[in-house]
Amino acid sequence: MRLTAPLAYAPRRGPLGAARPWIAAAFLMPLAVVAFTFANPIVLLAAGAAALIAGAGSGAGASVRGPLRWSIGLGVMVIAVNAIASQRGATILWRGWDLPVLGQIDVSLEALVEGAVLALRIIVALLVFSVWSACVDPDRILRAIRPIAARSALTATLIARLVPLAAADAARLEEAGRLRGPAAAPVGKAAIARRLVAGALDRSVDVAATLELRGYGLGVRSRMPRHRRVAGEITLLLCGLLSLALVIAAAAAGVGGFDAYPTVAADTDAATFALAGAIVALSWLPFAVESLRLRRRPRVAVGEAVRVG
Amino acid sequence: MVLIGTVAAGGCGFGPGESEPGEASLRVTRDFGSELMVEASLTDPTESDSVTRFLDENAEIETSYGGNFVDSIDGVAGSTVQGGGEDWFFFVNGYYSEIGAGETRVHAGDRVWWDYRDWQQAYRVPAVVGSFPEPFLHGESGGPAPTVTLECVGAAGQGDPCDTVVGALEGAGVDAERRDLDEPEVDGDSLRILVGEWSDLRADPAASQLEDDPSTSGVYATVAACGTGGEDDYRLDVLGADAKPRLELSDAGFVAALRHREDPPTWVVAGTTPEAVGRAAALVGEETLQDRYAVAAGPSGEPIPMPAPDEVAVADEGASTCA
Repeated sequence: MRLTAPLAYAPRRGPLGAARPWIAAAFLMPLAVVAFTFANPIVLLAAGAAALIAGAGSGAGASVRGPLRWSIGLGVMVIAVNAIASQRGATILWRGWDLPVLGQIDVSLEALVEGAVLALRIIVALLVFSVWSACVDPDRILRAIRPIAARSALTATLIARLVPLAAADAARLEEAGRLRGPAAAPVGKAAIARRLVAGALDRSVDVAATLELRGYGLGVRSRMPRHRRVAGEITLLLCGLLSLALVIAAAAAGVGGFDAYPTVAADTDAATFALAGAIVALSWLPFAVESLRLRRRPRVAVGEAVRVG
Repeated sequence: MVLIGTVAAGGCGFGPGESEPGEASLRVTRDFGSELMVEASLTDPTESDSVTRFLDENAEIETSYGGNFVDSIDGVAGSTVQGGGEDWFFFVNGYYSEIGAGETRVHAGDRVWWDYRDWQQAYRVPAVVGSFPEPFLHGESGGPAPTVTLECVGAAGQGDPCDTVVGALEGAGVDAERRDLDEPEVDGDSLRILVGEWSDLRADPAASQLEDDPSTSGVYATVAACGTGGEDDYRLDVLGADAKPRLELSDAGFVAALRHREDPPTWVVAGTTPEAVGRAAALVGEETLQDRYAVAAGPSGEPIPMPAPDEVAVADEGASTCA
C-alpha cells in the first residue's frame, strides 16, 4: 500500500538532500539545460545518467523509478506520433495511406530517430524534476522565496504538502474499503474522490488554524533560523557551476551537434564524448567526495569512555 | 489477409515504393527569380519522394507542421521565423501549389521551383511562365497528359507571331493544336496559349484579369486604356514588387500566365500594338522565360522581368507614354 505520492519529498541522505535549495538548483539546472538545448543522444544519455546518479546518491532511487516509467511510456507515444506526423526523412521504412487532413502517411527512419531524441529529452527533463522534487525540502524553498513572493511561496508549499497528503488519504480510504471484507462491493474511484473532496475542507480549516498558531498573517516578522553550512555544499555548487559553464560553452562551440534530416547525422567526436563524460563525472563527484568524507570520519565504539577534563 | 489486401490496394507498403523513370528538376531562387540559390535534379523519383524531401536533400531547410511548411532554405527565413512580408512559395510545372510541400509528390519530368519573395501585394500567384516548357509538356504534376491549344487571335495574332510561338513549342517538344480565331474561345479542359493584340484578347475571362491589380491576376503588370480617344490604344504598366508602376509602355509585348477560377493556366502572348505581338512571341523560349513570373519587351525587344527589379525607378505619375 502506498501512503506517499511518488514525487513526495522525504529527508534524504547525502549532500543534495541537505543543501540549500539554490545550491541544489545550481547543481541540477545544467542537466535540465542539456535536455532543452541538446539533441545529441550521447549528451542526453549522459544528462539522464547524471540525474540518476544524483537520485541514487541521495537515496531517492525509488522516487525516480516511477517517473522514469511514466516518461518512457510517454516517450513511446512521442515516437509514434512523430513518425506519422513528420513528412521528412530520406529513408522510407513504410509507405502509408493518403489521408484527409494528415496527408501522406510515410514512416521514415529519420522521423523515428527524431521522435526518439524528443522522447529522450522529455525523459531527462522529467528525471531532473523528479530528483529535485524528491530531494529538495519544499519548506526550505518556501523560506528562500518568501522574501521575494511570500504569498506565492506559501501557496506553492501548501500544494506540495497537501498533494502527498491527499494521496495518503486516498490510500487509507482504499485500504479501509478492502477491510470491509470480500463480500462487500468494491469501492469505486468516484466514491473515494467524493470523500477526498469532502475531507479537503476539513483539511483546509486545520491548515489555516495551524498557520494562525504559527503567526502567519499577524504582520510580525519571525526570526529565521541561521542556516548551518552543510558539508558537501561547496562541492555541489562548484560542480553545478562548472557543469553549467561547460554546457553553455559546448552549445556555443557547436559540440554535440545532431541533425535528423534528411539523414541522421550525430556528432560522435572526442569533444562530444568528453562533454558527456564531464557531465556524468561532475554529477558523481559530490557524492564520491561525501562518501570519502564519511569513511574518514573517526568512529567512536559503543561503550567507550570519553575523557572529560 | 483482408488487412494485407487493404494495405496493398491502398498503395501502401514497405520501402519508398516504385520509381518512375525520368528526371525531376529543382530550382531555388529569391526575389522573383532574380537570384539562383540551388539547382538540382532527382533521377527516377519514387512514390515517397515529395517536394519537401527533394528540397531537403539539396538544401539546409527548417520546416514546421511536420515538414509541410518550409520556414527557411539555406538560412533565408520566411515571415514565420523573422516576421516581415517575405516567404517561400513553390510551383510545380508552373502551377502554384495549393497543398503543402510534404504532401506534394514529385513525378518524373516535374519542374519544381521555390522562390522567396515579397507577397504583400500578391499572395497568390496561380501560375508562372518560369518553368517553360511546363506546364505544356507534362501538365499538372501527377495529372493526365495535357491538351494544349494555341489560339492565334485576330490579324495581329495570326501569321508570323503565331508561327514563332509554334516553332518555340515544337522545339521544346510540345504538341499543341493551333486554331486561328477572331476572338478567344474559353476551354476549361485544356491549357491555352492566346496570341494576339491586347484589344483582341481582353474579352477572355482569364486574360481580362490583367486589367486588375496583381492581387487579382497574380501578374505584376496591368494593361490600361490610354484614354487618348483611340479604342485600341493600350498601355502596359510594368509594376515593381510593391505594385507601383516602374515602366509605362505604350508599345510593349508581354508573356504572362493567368488562371480563371480552377481552369488550367492560360498563357497570354500579347502586345499593346500589332508590332509588339511579334516581340512578345519572340520571348517564348526556355532561356528567356526561366525563373520569371512574367516577361515584357519594350520597343527594343529586350526582355523586362515582371515585376521590375528594384533598381528601376518608380514611374512619374504625371507622365504617360501613350501616343
